[in-house]
Amino acid sequence: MKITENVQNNVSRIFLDGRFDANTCGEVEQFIRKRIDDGMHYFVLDMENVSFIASAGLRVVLVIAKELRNTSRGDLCIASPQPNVRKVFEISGIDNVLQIHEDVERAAKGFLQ
Amino acid sequence: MSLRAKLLFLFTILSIIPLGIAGRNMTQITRDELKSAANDHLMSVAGQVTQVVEDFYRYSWMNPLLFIQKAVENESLAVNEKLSLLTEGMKNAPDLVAIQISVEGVDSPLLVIQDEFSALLKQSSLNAEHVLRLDPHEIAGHRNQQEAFVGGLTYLEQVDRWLLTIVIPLAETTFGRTATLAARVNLERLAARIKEHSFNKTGFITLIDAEGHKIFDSNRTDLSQCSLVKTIKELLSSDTRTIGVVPYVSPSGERMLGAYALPTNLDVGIIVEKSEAFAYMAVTQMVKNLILWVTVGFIVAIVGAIVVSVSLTRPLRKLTQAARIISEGDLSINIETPKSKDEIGELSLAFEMMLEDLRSYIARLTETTKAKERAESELKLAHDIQQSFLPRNFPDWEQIDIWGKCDPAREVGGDYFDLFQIDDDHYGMVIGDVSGKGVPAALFMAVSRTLFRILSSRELSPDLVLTEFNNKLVELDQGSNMFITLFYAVFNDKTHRLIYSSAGHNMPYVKGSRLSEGTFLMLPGMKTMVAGIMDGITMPVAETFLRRSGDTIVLYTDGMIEADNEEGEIFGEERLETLLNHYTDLPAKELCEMLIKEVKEFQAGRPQFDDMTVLTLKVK
Repeated sequence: MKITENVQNNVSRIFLDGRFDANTCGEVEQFIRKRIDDGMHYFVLDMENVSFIASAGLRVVLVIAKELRNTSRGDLCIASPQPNVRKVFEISGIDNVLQIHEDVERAAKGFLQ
Repeated sequence: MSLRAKLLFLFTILSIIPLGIAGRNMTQITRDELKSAANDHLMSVAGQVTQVVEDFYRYSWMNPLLFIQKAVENESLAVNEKLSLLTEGMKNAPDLVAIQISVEGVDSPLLVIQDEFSALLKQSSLNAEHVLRLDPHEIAGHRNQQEAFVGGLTYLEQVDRWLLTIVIPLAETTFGRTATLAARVNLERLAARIKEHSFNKTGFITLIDAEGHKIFDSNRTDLSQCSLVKTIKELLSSDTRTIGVVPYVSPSGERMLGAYALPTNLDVGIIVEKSEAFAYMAVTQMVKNLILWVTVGFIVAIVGAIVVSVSLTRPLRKLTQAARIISEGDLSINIETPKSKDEIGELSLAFEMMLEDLRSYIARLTETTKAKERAESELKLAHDIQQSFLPRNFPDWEQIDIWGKCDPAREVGGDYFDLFQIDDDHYGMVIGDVSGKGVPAALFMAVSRTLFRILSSRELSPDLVLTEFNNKLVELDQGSNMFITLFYAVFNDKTHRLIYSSAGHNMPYVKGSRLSEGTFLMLPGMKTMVAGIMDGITMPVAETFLRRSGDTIVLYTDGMIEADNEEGEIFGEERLETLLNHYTDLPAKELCEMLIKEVKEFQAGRPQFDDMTVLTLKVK
């Protein structure tokens, strides 16, 4: 999993590249937790290059989002997922809990409002 | 070549070169010195012997003879007086054994013979007069007007005496005619004198006559073929008187060193000779000594070299040995560090430190490996326990053919399925997938299974079971943030109605009368949510019918459709759908096995990331 970040207006845009499964979800979780410790509250996970998301990946996304909402009034949303990834969010119903946007900019704007 | 051998070789070369050079030079110098000393000695002995001969000639022989000559020639003396003087003179010259005065024309010469010698001859029954008298012709032949003749060396074999003849011409006035004074000289004393010379202890003094025959040798050995004697013969005949040294080989083959001298007045050659080996004995001795000491020095050097090289290489050898033992995996050895502060000492120290590091590293590794092994065996146990939660025996129900199969990934996964008869008509089938893997997932699944079994036994409608299940799960969960997706269907074999609900799970495929004509289609999606995250959610419900024989519902987990191959392609729902239609007539068990087999073939050796589970219900 390749993870890159771009911070604008206190919103961290995290670009994920690869499979987001049980083997890689730890990296993503660690990365975001470190950024939270650094003081970030808002995260957009760009999943344009995520070929596949497993239940373990879903869990990481859910856990982080829940923590951000409960402890620091921050939030996390998903941007530009591939159709199969979007489908997983939809099947599992997590799209009810997390915002899923077409692209990163729109997602970031959503936070600013 | 080992280091030790190299050092030994070096030391040997270092010790041999100077010793060899010094030894060789010393031998050479000494040999030269001794050679010249030996030559000097020989020359001096030759000179001494010559002096002896000349002294004899002058004082013992010629002086008495000249005195007698004077007496005989003295005109004022009467014959009697002359005779008595002659007799007196002979008494004073023990070497003169006979004096003969010959006058030309007188047949019988005057012959006076020494009494002792006469007696000696008589003992051997010899006539002294006959032996000692000189023939007048002989005398005439030797007579020389000016000088005395010395020669005519004779050997009297019977008495073993050497005689020399001296002929001196007398003045004509004495007898009015030509007259000569002749004397026979006994060389016994001379021989004895020469024999006394100390040189005889180490060498030989030989006298030869003009023909090259040995004097004072009863055999009169002919030495004329000897190179030295040839030289002397030449010198004797040329009247040159000289002294010199010549090396030569004796008839017996021995290398000799000889000096020769030729006394004046006497036609004899004096040879003083020594064997070269004897002359150079000191050199030989010295060379022997030198070889001995060189050998001793060499041995000392070798021993020293061995000691040094051993002391240098022993620690290295030990280290090499230790390294070999270590490479074989034995770290328990002890390296005795030499106390030296040189490079070898440092090396040993570094080596010891390395060994220490290795030991602690291995110890850590062993510990980690043990821990890992323990964890793995625990994981294996967890895996087995988890698998034991899944049904293995499938009931043989009257109208339903039902079969499920879970193919677990290597690690403990979170797939779950179950089937049970709820009451006379109702059969429940559930499939689920816990988020994540490992022991937490297994534990969460165990909790979920228990909870689900309890709830499903109390309530018939799947949506209510799932709603309650979700609420209870959220309530139970203490912050693990784990969740489970579930698909739960209840089939009534009387009405053939299948009521189902989903908590965020993949929608199953159904081949049923209501949807299509004999092909598998995915059930339409539902508005739903995984269980365990948020409480208060009302789970959806829907229904379909499996009326005819062969109508089927296939439940699966995402491990089936998300398996990927080498090219990174995902197996996907389309492939699953195609396969389902392809194997549509297979019984439930074979269908499950075939599907898993196909997915595995698609993966073609790639590690399986997730559990794969299929649960099939088929109307008989």
